[in-house]
This record gives sequence, structure tokens and C-alpha cells, in this order.
Amino acid sequence: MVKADQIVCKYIHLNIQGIEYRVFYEEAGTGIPIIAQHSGGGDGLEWHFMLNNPEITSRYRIIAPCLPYHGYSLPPESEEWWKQEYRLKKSFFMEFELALSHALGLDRPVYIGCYVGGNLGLDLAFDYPDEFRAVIGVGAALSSGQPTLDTFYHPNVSNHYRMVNSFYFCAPLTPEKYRREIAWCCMQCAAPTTKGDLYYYFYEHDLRGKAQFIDTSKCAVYLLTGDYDPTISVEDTLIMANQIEGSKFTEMKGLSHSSMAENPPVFTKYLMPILDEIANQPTKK
Amino acid sequence: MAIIEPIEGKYIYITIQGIEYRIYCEQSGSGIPLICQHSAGSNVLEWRHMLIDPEITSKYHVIAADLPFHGRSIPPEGISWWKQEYKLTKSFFMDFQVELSRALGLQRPVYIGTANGGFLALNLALNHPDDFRAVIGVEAAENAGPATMDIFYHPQIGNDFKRGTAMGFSAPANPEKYRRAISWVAMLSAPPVTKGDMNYYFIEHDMTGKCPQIDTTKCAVYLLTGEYDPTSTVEDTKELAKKIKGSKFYEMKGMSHSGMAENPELFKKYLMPILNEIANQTKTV
Repeated sequence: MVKADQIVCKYIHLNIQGIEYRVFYEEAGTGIPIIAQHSGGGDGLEWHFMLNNPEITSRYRIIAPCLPYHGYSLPPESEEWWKQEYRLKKSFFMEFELALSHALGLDRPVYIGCYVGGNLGLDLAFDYPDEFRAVIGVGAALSSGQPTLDTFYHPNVSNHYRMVNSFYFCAPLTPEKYRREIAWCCMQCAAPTTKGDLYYYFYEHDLRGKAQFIDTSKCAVYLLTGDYDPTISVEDTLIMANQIEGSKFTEMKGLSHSSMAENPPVFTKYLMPILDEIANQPTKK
Repeated sequence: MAIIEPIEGKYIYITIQGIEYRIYCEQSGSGIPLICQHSAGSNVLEWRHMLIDPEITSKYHVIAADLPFHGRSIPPEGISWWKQEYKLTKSFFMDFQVELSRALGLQRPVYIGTANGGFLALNLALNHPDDFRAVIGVEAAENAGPATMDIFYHPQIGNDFKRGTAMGFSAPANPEKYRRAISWVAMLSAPPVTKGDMNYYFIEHDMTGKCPQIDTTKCAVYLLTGEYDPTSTVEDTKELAKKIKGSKFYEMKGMSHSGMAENPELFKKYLMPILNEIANQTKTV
């Protein structure tokens, strides 16, 4: 028999805001469903260590999708998508997670996301607390300001720029093989995608004045931020954590921006107590 | 119920030339095994139409894998791959097909490949006639002559260049949605990959003087070339076909460089008679 991962990959057709998308996702494990959302310009590949960790998959059913325009989820075939600039909108991003959860018949899944996906965790807890039993925001903050996005998409800027960004984002003690791998994966996104994703990140995600209304008795909120992350600092996440009553924040020592991929063993050390706690909660009906 | 396509994607581990690779492989259907090889700087998405075509999957077990360093087959974790330039060699490319077939327990599969993969069809027929019952070379030629490859990998050339190239290669009457989709897929490769693949295409692939040694009674050879392909012309493939006794060549009217992805309906019109012929021969043997 050929040696194989337990991961199974599928293409599912999801209708989001009236348009049908062919969505690629990776899946492994059985138990409590958990949707693992990649970062801006990323791909479900970012989660492959979690998908391959028997300690997690023995109790959790992990689903790691590629957002449309990312990885193996191509732009929608029915639309003339090339006639408009790609932009990730908050409403689309949230409805994507809901459509995926509903199509797979998941029962109030856990949501975990990193960076762009980390911020979405908080938006989901705010807008859809009945759809998710818990959200885990990795590298999340209230807002990130409104910088220029032009450097993220320019014909004279090659995908190498993404590799270098990713390198620089890594914590100093990140094992070389993981640092190289995550940087490689960053180079595999289509040229316009990162800029479009950052539209959500920088311009649409803003929980200032709203975070205090998140009801963690309905949807638990966990926050993890690496102490080396240059995009979201530990202080940024702390400010938000202080506004969300009942949220739980853990600083991840020695980690940075793409922690689940840049140093899976250390990330798992911080993630497991959260997953244990969620698994031990009585199921609400 | 949401539509979930019959394609199943798995990650399998294959050792090639002493190094273990985690290979992403999509499969669907049952019957005669058919390995579909993507072109340079691309991935399995090129074959998505064939993988979900019931007319093909009812008779064929369709297999499409990402070459290492392409798509979801990320570089091998066991070596410091970043210390050397990526280059696809002929021996590695052939060994990959043979090891993939062995790992999946396939019985003399049919091989189909396009462009880079189309060239490989001839090398497989020459060197591994016992491992493949037939090869289908799409856009194949004896050789492509040496060329400068520097434009394929430069820090000031964005991945939009690959999209522009794919748009330019596309036949005039291609449906716009497919032209755009294949150009999008072309952007999904890491910057060093296309140039590295061209090492095989331009430098290592050379069938000059070797074609008469191909024994089509052991391994049938089919050749398909699009009339608009600017890389391998109809005349190039005709010359090749003349030198391989028993080979069958068909010009694909209205098609160009990436037929199975740029115009899947039209491509199928040319492919089905070949697949039917192979299936009928299998019955009589």
C-alpha cells in the first residue's frame, strides 16, 4: 500500500451572494467540526500540519478550504470576473464560511483563522454567534489602519516580494524548513489576490466600538498572537481582548505571523489547551 | 444538497531518485488507468474537465498529479532544496511517472501529457514501453531547440507575465471563460518553476535520431497538435510522426497550446476516438 496522508481533498459547489463557486477544501479527522481559514494570499496548505496531527484529528473534523481566487478554488466560471478588480469583502468572506458550513452540514463548527482569517473570526463572533460554537483568532486586532495597497500588486513586482515578506515575518527561531515552505507557498498565489484580500483586512475589518458587544456566552472567543508578529502586536490583541468580556488571550512566545505553518510544534502547544477546553464544553442546543 | 464533485484528492508519499516527496494526486473514475501530466509551471487544474467527464470516467481511471515544486506538491521536507536552483531533468520527470504508477498499483497505464508533458510522452514510449500501454503526446515535437530562459524568472517580472503568455498562446475562438481560467492557473506557480521546467523542454528533450527506435507495437503513440500552437506547430509534430512507425497524428483544428483546458469540449472531440481505440484494443488483448 502506498504511504498516504489521511487528508482527503474535494471540490464542492457553493452558492454565495447569488454566484456559484467551485471550492476546493482539504478534510481530515472526525468529531467536532473546525473550519481552518488561510490568510491573505494564502491557501489551505497553510494548515497541513494540523490536518496531519492525530492528536487533533482523533477528536476534530478539520476542514481547510481555499477561498475563491486562492489556490485550487478558481474564479467563478459563470462570471466575467476579469472585468472587475478582485476585492475580498467582509460580507462575502463571512457568507463563504456560512455556505461552507451549511453545505457540509456542520453543527456549529469551531472557526480558526490566521491574519486576514484571524480578523474574520471576530467578525463572525459579532455577526453570527449562533453559527459557531467558538472562534480562534490568530493574529487578530480591532482594526489595522488604512495604508496604501499598491505595492501588493504591480507588474514590476514579482511574486518573490511575497516570499521576502514571508521570510521577514518569520520569528528568529523558526526552523529553516518551515520558513522556506511557508515562503514558497506565499509565492503561489495569483498576482492580484493579496492586494484584494487586504481590502478586507485594512478597509473593511473594523471592530472599534463593536467588540464589547460580542457575546462569548454564545460563541467563545480565543485569541492567539505571536510575540514577534510585526503586523499585529501582542499589545494590539490585548487591547481587543480587554474589550471582549469572556475572551481568552494567549501570547505565543517565539512565534510570529503564520505560526501554524512556520513552527507547527510550538503552535500546537498553544492550540491544544484551547481545543481541549472547547471539546470539554457541554454542547449547547 | 450541495454538489460535491467525484474527484478525490490525496497526498501520497513517493520516493524518486532517493528523495521522498509528498505528492498531491487527484483521481476519479474506474477502468483503464490514465495518467494526465500538466504542462510547465502549471498544476492538475489543467485537467479538471476530464476528471469530471462521465463519458471518460466511466471507462477510465483518471489520475492527475502535481509534479514536485508545482501546485500542492510543495518542495520536499527532507532536503535543503533552497540551496540549489530548481531544474526539471528528463530522468526525474520519467521516474516520477513510473514511480507514481507503481505507488498506485496501476497496470500499464495510458499516459497523456501536454507541452512539457507532451514531450515526455515520447521519452516514455522510448524508454519505458513496458510500463505504459499507450502515450498521447499533446503539442509534442522532436525538440524545441535551445532558447534563452532568463525571461522566465526575473525579480522584475511579475506572475502577470505568465498570464499574458497564456493569453497569447490561446486560440482565437476559445471561449473567453476558459482562456481566462487557464491564464489564471498559469499565475499559480512559484517564480522559479517555469524556468526550471524549461530545462527539460529546451535543453534535455531531444528525440533527434531516436524516434525510429520507438516500438508502437509495445506502446502505442498518439499525437495531437493544435493548429494555432505557436510553440509546437502542426508541421513540427507531422515531422515527428513520420519518424515513429505506427504512430497516429491528428491536427486539432481551432485549438492551440493547452487544448484540454482552453477548449475542453473541442479537445474531447479529438481525444475520444483515441480513448475508444485504446479501450477496444484492451478488450481484444
